[in-house]
Amino acid sequence: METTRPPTALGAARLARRLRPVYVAAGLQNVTLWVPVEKLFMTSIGFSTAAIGVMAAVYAVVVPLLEVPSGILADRWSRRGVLIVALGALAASVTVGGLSQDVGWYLVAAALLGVSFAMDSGTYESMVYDAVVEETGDGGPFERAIGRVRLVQSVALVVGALAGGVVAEVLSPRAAYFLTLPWIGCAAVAVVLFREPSLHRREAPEPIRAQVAATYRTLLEPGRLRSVIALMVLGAVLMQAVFEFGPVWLVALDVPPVAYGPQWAGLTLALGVGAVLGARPGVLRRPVLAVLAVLPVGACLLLASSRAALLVVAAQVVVIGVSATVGVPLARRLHDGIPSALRAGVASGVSTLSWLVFLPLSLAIGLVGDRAGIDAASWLLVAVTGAGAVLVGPALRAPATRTFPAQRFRPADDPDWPGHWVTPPRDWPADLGDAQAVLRAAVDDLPADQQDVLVARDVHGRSTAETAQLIGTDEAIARALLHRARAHVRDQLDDHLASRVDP
Amino acid sequence: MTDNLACVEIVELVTDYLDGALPAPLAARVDAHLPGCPGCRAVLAQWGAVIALAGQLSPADVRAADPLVRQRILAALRRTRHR
Repeated sequence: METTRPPTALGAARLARRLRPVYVAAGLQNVTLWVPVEKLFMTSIGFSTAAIGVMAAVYAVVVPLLEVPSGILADRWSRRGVLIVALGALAASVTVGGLSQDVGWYLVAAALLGVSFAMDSGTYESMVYDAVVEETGDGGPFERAIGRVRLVQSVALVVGALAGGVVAEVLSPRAAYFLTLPWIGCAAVAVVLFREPSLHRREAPEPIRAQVAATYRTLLEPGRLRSVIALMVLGAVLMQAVFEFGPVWLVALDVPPVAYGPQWAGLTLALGVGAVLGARPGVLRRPVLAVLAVLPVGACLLLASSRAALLVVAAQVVVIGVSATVGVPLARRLHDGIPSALRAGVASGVSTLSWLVFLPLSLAIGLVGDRAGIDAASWLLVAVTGAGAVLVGPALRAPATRTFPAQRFRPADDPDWPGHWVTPPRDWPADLGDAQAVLRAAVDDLPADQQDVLVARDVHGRSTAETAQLIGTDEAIARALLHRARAHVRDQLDDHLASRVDP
Repeated sequence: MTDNLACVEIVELVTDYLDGALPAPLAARVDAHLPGCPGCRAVLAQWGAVIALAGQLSPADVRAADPLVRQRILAALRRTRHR
């Protein structure tokens, strides 16, 4: 099931072209004009606070229930197909919502929105990762790509919110709902234009029970992925808590209404900018990770103690930004560690786990906030960020790329030989033929830092210490880069020899 | 850590193992795994082949067109010579 891999430089250009419809769709889908005026509109059609609570509950039930099943559907059928259905549900929700005259119909719209969100979750990520692997043979460019997706989404959200406020003012809140429809339609066109990767398709589809079992097992099995998934869940929970409860801090500090828009916009942009920063390779250096681990804890301590509105908003922006930053290498590690056939299901599962953790936390924040004030509730967030800080090391210090794809090995709960080869690699023939040409091309393909290390060590024969000094890093990282470089070269030679033997 | 290293972990350690950079107990466990595992022995042999083949490249073969790389290596060589 090895895919053919074109040279990296050409692959990068093709990847950019191939992903363009995804960026466009992600942006268009998030031009949600109705979001800023939703509560206003709901009040005008008869929603009381209790009814708003019922709506939130409908949403909170529909999403976790549907996420994993829709992810498995995406894995078995088509990621693109599930996205189209999600956009259809979104269009239906917006139409029903815009037409609503009472609470009942708007609850239907909320349920449809939940369906759309559940189907979206995990699907974009999985499509992007598989497209990256198909075009470049490596998970590396995934981080930049997903960073771009998040940035496009957050900018679209902010622009949509600003435009929505204007539309609601000039026309009416209902118009804001209906005027979202053309954007959804264009997003659907962009999704149709995307050439979907086919890595998740198998010749003989697995029975559904086995696939469901494999999806849940991957989510919950002890091992390297567990710290990654745990930190992803904590990050998602933290971000959701700050988005949901952030304005409550502003209320407690008697901030004028004009500040609420910029606060929301700041948080939303922090999400996109943070994700783009998370894609930079420097993020994983030890001092940077240490700062990223400790910063949110400090920010939440500030939330607990400060009475200055500007500091409170800045702290919230830092929490969102850092969570988004750390989320990108985490997503890379998650997807590097799971086979393509389970990708959307597992990604959705992580989101469901986040919901399950968020629900009791939000109840706790509400309870503590009611009794003792929202700044006292900050201590709950301090606990969450503290737990996250402990996990940053184990989750991110281990190397990202596995030397061989995860599906070459038996799973950890295999009864006979856990972690052993499914099909052991064959010895290479004694005569390697024109391997030199393949080797030269493979070395040429390498990213600059890996190439420097391989050339210094294996071509020039320098020691690890000299090489590390040469490229300005430590010996452990130099050796890790060398390992990746040699792994890439080995892969290219292996492909070449395999195609030579079996033409 | 489990007592027996599985193949999925062994393949991540190959470079460190060949460099002699693994702590002695870990290297011993790799040693213990190899005799019984033709797959991992093949990977180790392939690693050695990659190193040998790379060693046969002349420095001119290797993207000598990149002036930045050459400059950095030359600068570092000058530094080590003057020490």
